[in-house]
Amino acid sequence: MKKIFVGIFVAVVSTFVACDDDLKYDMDTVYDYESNFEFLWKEFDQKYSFFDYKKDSIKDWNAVHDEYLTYVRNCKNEVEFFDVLAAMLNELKDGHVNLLSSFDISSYDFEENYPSDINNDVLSSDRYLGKDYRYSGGIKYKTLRDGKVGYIRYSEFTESFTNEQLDYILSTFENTEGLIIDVRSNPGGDIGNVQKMVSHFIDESYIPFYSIYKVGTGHSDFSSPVSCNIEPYNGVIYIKPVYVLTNRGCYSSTNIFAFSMKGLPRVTLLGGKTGGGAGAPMVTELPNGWTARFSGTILLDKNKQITEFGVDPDIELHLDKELAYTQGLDNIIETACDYIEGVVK
Amino acid sequence: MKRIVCVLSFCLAFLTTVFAETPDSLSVKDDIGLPKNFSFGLGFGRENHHVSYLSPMLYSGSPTEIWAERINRKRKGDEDFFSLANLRLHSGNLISQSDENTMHVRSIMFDYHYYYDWKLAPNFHMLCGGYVGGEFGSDKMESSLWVGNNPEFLRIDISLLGLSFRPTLSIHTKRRVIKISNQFDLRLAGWVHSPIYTQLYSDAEKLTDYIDFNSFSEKIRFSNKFTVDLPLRRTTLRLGMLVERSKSDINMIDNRTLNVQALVGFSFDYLTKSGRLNKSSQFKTIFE
Repeated sequence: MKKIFVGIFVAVVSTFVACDDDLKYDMDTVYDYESNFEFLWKEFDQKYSFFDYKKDSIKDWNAVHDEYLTYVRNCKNEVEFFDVLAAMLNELKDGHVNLLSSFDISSYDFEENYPSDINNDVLSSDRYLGKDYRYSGGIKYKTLRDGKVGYIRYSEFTESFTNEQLDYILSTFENTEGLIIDVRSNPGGDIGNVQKMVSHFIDESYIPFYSIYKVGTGHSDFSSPVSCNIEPYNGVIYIKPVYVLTNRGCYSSTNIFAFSMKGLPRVTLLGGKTGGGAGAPMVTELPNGWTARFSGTILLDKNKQITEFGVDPDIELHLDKELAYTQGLDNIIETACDYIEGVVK
Repeated sequence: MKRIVCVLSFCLAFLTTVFAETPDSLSVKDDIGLPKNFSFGLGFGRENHHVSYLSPMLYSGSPTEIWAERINRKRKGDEDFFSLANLRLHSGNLISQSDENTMHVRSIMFDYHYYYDWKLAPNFHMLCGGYVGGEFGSDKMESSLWVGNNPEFLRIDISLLGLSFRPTLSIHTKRRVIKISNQFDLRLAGWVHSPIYTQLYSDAEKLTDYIDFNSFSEKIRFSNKFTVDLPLRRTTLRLGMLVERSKSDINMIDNRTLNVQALVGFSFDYLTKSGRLNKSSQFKTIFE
């Protein structure tokens, strides 16, 4: 009996202690350029969400593989290898795509060939923010034009604020005729802050966007849209005209904020086209320890349109650089103020 | 270190309080004379872990566990039945082969087994039955480079039905009883909480959006626990080895775990306490 018992135990244990060999790499392979290249290419092929949408604007991903494989084979060191992989990922034309190593981070410049539409020196001059602005929850705020125009400068959606903080800020604008929300060059951040902010400018329940996510490895394998519902905040709702200032540097969550605000009854988008970034970024890892960031889902606007390449403003207006340099004027802010005061209709 | 020792001590004391019953309290129960067994201890070993939702890489490390187990013997007619409750707190920091990133694995596992006692020989009990159980925890990636929306994967797994076998051999020496057990569990069906491929947790408004019912073919999970109860002078030492493996491909998320642990702890039968074979006593250990 004892022998049978011990025999069963040994058989069971030896059967079950099997390693996941297909997930293990020899240490030589861990740092092998070609293995890491193939790994990264396949991860993106199976998980990146915009292949189908961008099929007419980016190179075919299989062709990219063949092209960059030859470059990889010629790499002499890991810096060269990093640059080749980074260049391959930049073919996707996506600001959410990055390659991250201990010595560098690659990124796609989605602002290239677009006007910057913002001058921070002018913005921080006494005419605008100056030194007498107030600051709460990542939001700088003050009034312009003798208290007639409220001005909010929110430069990063990573900076969190509470509804109570926003309540207080908006309550200080009670006697204004309108409000400017300046999100130019805001690179994005927490989508929860977008929902919080939008909830102070709506009168009724609102679906600003939908999410779809990949349900398979194919380029077209997507789920049905899942709606995101925002209820009006049970506190201060700003009911006067609102001008949202945008430029190409409005990316990711700021892009979502732009298309969420666009079309609301009292809201106007003014400035340049946003940078886009309509997919939630996810992260994967290479055998050599480098990580890669990619768009893993797609966010659709309220009309179920993809805004990966940006949101057009209601009124397109670019920064007059000469005016900015010579007179210290931001013509985008000035135009918004004129609209609010009724100088321009 | 002091904090870890304090936490471990608290957990052990807590588990002992929860599970332990004195002979006095047993005396008011119907099944007096049917001893129970309680054991607790620590586990140390090696774990391989892979969650494709977080990373395509295999992570390995040396997790630790606190475990507690209680066995009750019940008699219905001429037949004996056993119930077994098992609680485990599992924690480990795992790294990939490139040693760049860390995965923190934390979970609490509970399972309840019910066995029919198939007495193949006077000193050999073949316990056959089933179990239900659950695992709750998370795998969290940590890296100075990570900036994604998928840093954490929730481990919520309810085993609705599983097969369990626990052959137990009692070896009588001159003054003591050495008990050798080998518990094998095989999950047949259950519920798993899992997002879909690249779906983010923040995209679901309801928890039920993520619950997936899965059978043996979708999620394979089994464990084999070999234990030896060695009576010493005033206590019984439990030594053992746990091999646990699970593999699933639910909602296109590849999830694999291989956990091998050495178990060290203490075991006692309520009515004999020390585990000694006391011939002058009317009490015997649980498998006698």
